[in-house]
Amino acid sequence: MANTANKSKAQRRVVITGMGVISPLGNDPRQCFEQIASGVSAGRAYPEDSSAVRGLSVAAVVPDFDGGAVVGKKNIKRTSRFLQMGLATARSARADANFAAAGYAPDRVGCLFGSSLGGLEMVHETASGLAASGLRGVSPFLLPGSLNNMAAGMIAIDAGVNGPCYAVSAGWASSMYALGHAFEMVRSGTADAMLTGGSESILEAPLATAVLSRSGLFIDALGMKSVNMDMDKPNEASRPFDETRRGAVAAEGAAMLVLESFDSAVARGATLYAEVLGYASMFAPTANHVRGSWTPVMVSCMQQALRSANVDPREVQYINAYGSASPLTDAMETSAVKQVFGGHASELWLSSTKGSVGHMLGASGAFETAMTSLALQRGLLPPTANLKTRDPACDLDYTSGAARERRVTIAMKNTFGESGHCGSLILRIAA
Amino acid sequence: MSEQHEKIVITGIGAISSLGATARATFEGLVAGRSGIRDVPWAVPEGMEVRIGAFIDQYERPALGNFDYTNPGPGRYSEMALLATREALADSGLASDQDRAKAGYESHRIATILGVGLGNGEAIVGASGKIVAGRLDEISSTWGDRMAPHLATELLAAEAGATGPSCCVQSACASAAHSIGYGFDLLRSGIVDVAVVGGAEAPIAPFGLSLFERIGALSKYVGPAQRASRPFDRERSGFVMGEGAGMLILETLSHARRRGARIYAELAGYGATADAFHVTRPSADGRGMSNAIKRALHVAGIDPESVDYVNAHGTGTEFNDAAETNALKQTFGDHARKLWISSNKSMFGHLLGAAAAVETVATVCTLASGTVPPTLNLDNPDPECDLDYVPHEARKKPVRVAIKNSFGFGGQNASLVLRTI
Repeated sequence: MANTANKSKAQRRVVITGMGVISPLGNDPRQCFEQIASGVSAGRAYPEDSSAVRGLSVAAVVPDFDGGAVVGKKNIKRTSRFLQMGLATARSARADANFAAAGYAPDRVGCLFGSSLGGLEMVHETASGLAASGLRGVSPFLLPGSLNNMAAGMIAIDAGVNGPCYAVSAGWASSMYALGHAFEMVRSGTADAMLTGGSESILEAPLATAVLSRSGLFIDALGMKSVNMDMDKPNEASRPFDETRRGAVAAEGAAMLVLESFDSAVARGATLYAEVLGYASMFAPTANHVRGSWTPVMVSCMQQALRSANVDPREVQYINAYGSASPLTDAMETSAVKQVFGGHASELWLSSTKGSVGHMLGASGAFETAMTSLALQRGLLPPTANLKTRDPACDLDYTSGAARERRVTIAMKNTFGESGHCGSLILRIAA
Repeated sequence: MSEQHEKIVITGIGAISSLGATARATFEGLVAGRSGIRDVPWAVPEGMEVRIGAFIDQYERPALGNFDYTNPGPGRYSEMALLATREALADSGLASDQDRAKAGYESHRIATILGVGLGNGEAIVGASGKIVAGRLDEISSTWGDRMAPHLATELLAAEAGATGPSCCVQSACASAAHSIGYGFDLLRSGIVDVAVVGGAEAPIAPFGLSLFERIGALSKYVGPAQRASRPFDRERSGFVMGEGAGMLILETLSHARRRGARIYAELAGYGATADAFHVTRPSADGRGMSNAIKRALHVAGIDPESVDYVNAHGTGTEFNDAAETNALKQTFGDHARKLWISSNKSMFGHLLGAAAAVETVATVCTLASGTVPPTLNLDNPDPECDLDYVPHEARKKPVRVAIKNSFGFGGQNASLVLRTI
């Protein structure tokens, strides 16, 4: 309330000019998008008896990623997989944006990186080392190879950029928070360009799969059986907004984006994926305890984002939903969208790409922002895979079945992480 | 550029450290030149050499309201963060929902940002150990929430009645400086009205200490524990681990005045840079550090010659102290010799992700009192560290402008500019 007058300050327009992704559906953003648009789903069986992974019956893993090609053979064991993926996607994003030729002063380019849990698989190896040889089992590479902020630092070293550089951790909204904060930095002129996004890859850490399976948010064999899911079709397990949804499919992946000011991107002839018009983040501190109570925070987050973008709710045509396939969260998100958009809610097209790639945890926000940008650019709205029968509590148009060819001008990307961390981004077609 | 922006001020402080359970007690310890560094109070396991830390003997564990944090608990760092937050909120007159309503602050316009380096690392490796030992059943359903570093911010946000932006900021040893800077950015761009910012860390346990011993970062000093942290001294050989938390309440000057808050100081500028040089070592020329200070001064619209005092990062490692000295010379030129510079880490050790928070609280106290705490144990200045580091004893002079430096492992630098109002 006190500072609404601050809105008048000169703000720069911000655009997305490059992207790199690593996902269960491949590592090329466009091909990945086409697969999602075709309704393919990546879930795979994750046997409980595997020595590496316990607790999860199904997961969406990245089939094709060679960490050694990114950090060098010598450093494969010295760095966590999330860090290697972050570094790889930052490189792809820079190449995609033709960033080397952009000529930005290095100290005007920063890196904000989001991850929730970092390099847990290295922690697990350390625990094995501790059990075998006591504190002598603590590796000197654990600290630099597993901390979230080291990913940001290594990306900056790799890119040779000297602007603001750190990691942001906000549960499943981590990369969304990083991206939103990076947007604010370019918009306010703190930086001219930012490398931002995040990664999460913890499925090889037994502790992670144990806690994910016990959190009640992710689907397991019991959940699948309870709705007679075909256990031989794990790719059908992620069912956002469906009446038979029983939780998210845990996934791994990474996405990094290049953000630049509109003027300099246009001046250098960069390819524009989308313009970022506004952003807001909120937190529901009691989310873990009184789950039903945080719809108002989702509502407030979307409203603040619209205000930040100076966009009227009726201008929004498409929402790339959080849609985790959690029974509670999908219903709350639906209710929140109806509160924000009123009668316009029924005219909105929504979809959740988590039906296709699962829940990339802290990396999901940046990945889904990349996919939303491509949807705007292509004029093609991807469907919600595996959505056959809408839950009565989820009564909006979630694009079940086939993708829709629609020229959409303004889209919203929501991330409503079950830890209570909410982020909403408003995107506009770059044309 | 500063005149276009609302001034951001600090209206509340809280801290807990090895020198005391409050901001005041911590600052008094610093001014008295007391060391909080002692032998660790547990049997040192085989496989580690380090035997000292600036630990907190005991603290009153905070009640956690409605939260059920039994198995496992929220961790020492979260409890310390909560204690410092309560102190800071009470100090600023914003302790209760009624206080905040009276001040005109709505929950969604209050941010809670916490700097954390390791967080619950000790508990996480312990839990992994249970799995290695086949004791999977001991991992309860609440573990997921306990592992993530944002656990502490949940407690903070509940305490502050806040639903605005809330996250952990991580840049290793500079985390809290970036956290304070994030709050500064959020206020300046008008996104929030209040930012509850700071950092917390409690790494003094066998695993946490081993992590840093492995990379050769800890002091190898042989002799009394109180003498082991020796920033800028020729015999410095690494830092001594500390623990604790520091929190600050930021709001705009106009709103703080309107509600009649006590104003400690202005947070006038913030600059963040990356060395982009090496994962564990700072660039020896101090260029990245210097650029952070210059950027912060530029944002504040303050000339380098106006700076009176630098609360240094001053870890006591060979690389940092020499590089930081170079950075100060690059930034300030001849004026570098006139600066008073001191390192709080000589007394309460290195609090990693919380370091910049407690040190910013101390810098606020310096501005308010005109007292500059000393750098302890600076007996034989290193020829490469030839500035005025206020050795041994505190000094008094009016300090109008101060810099707080913070340089993270991984080359992640942040500097803050504070000014009297």
